[in-house]
Amino acid sequence: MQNEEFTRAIVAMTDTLYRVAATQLRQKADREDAVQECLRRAWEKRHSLRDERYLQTWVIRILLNECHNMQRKMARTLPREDIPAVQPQREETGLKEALLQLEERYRMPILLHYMEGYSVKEVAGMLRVPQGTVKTWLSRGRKALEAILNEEVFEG
Amino acid sequence: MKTAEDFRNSFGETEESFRHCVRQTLMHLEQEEEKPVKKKISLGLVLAMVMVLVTVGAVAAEQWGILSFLKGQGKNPSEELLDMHTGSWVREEDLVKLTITEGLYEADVLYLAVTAEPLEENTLIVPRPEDAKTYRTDEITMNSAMATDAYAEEMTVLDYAKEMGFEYVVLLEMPTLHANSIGGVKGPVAGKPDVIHYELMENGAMRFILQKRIEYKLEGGFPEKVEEVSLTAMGYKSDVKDEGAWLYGVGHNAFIQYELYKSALSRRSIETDSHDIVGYRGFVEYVSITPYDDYAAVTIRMNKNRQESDHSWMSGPNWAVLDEEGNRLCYVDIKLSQAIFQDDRSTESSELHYGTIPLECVPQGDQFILQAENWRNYNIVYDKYTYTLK
Repeated sequence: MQNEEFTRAIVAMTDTLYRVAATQLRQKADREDAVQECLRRAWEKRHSLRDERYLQTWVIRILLNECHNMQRKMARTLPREDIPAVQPQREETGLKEALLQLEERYRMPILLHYMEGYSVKEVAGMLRVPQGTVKTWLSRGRKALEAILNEEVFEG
Repeated sequence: MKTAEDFRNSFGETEESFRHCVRQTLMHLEQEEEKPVKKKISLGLVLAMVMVLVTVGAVAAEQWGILSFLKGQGKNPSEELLDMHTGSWVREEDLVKLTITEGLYEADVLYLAVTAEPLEENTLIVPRPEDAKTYRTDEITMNSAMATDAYAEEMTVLDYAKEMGFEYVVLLEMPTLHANSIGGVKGPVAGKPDVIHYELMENGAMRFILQKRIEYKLEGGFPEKVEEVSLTAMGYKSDVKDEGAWLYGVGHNAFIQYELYKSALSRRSIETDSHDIVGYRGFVEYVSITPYDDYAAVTIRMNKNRQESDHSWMSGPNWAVLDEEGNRLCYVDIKLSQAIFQDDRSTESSELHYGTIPLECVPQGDQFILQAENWRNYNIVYDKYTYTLK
């Protein structure tokens, strides 16, 4: 893959990368560190990508790994009492906050499938789980989200 | 009914700093690839290595020598900086000849380039890791000995010696350094120095660079001269055919008359000033500046505490030099970063950052003003600090 194509593709998916990072990491600086490390890794390995059509899903998978790495480091570093507690549900919960209240295994498939438009197969590839698992998580996550918001979500 | 669009909108616009970060990273990666030769020394890599001191020898490997290693320029220092005599002293029963080939006393650190040569043919010299619990060459890996990951994961020193056709191996303990007297200040420099680079030679010899910080005395300031530098080392010889069992060890001295003069222009900030760095959680222990013919070397020693940090631990701040009115004069171009201390949990560390600035940025008076900025986005300013140089 040519450098220019790589750069162009990454710039085009900046919003998606931001939303993926924002659902995993609360601190702005952590999100920036994660995406920076993700891009560095993707850049180094870009020639190993056999099919350029999979660039987006591949980069998202790398970013998710980096987010997990950051979370592990923070868990190691922060004393237990300093780990931010989950925000209590407010009466008028914002959509983003509602999404962030979901368990991670539900949150990420919902973001990737419903909001970013990736197919179940692609999401399964990014999360490295079977498609059936993704479908289950989507269904349960959607119900959990509806329970939080007290309203139906996502058409169809 | 909340739609996907509603959810996407709930995130708001992508933060401008995030966009900037993506663009800058891509640009940086492209520029890095376009650079022709030199490997860049990564601070992230340095920090990742939980060692007392790490090898950061990419530059040194290409341009051996302390002066080029530290300055990356291959220039000679000012005459007043360095007056050096080299030599070595070898006893007949010794296994290894140690020679100090180059020395530099800059600001507050003494650097020595040393060559260890075997006195018997077909002998390989390899450092013995400080934390090794054995003297057997079949139980020490090349990666642990050389503080690198450049060798195959499980390759032992014995494997390497066999592969390279050596008959004997000398595991060399890192030398103890003595400077018997220091002009102007009482008290010798003694103890284990830090090793900042190793290199194996084809004939079995080994080269390495040592550094030792010279204590600053409030009453006496920096010593103007370091005299009579000597090294004491211990080696353990083994026969390759004997599968790594060591035969015997022997001490060794290299005694060299050195007179290293500190540059008269070299100055350092007084230590009583330390600051919390906003957004970076740490403090600067000192800053030193040594002007040369056409640029000045800057050393910044920092203490960082990541336990308290909610900010990036992977990258340091960018340092801008300001004039008295707060205008940016230049940036410190960091050439080399070393972790010199790191605790077991990797939360607290001390680091040395070596860089250069143009001569026009060197303060004429006693005040040196540095501004810590986000290294990715110079418009994010953390704080500025004024150091008094002495």
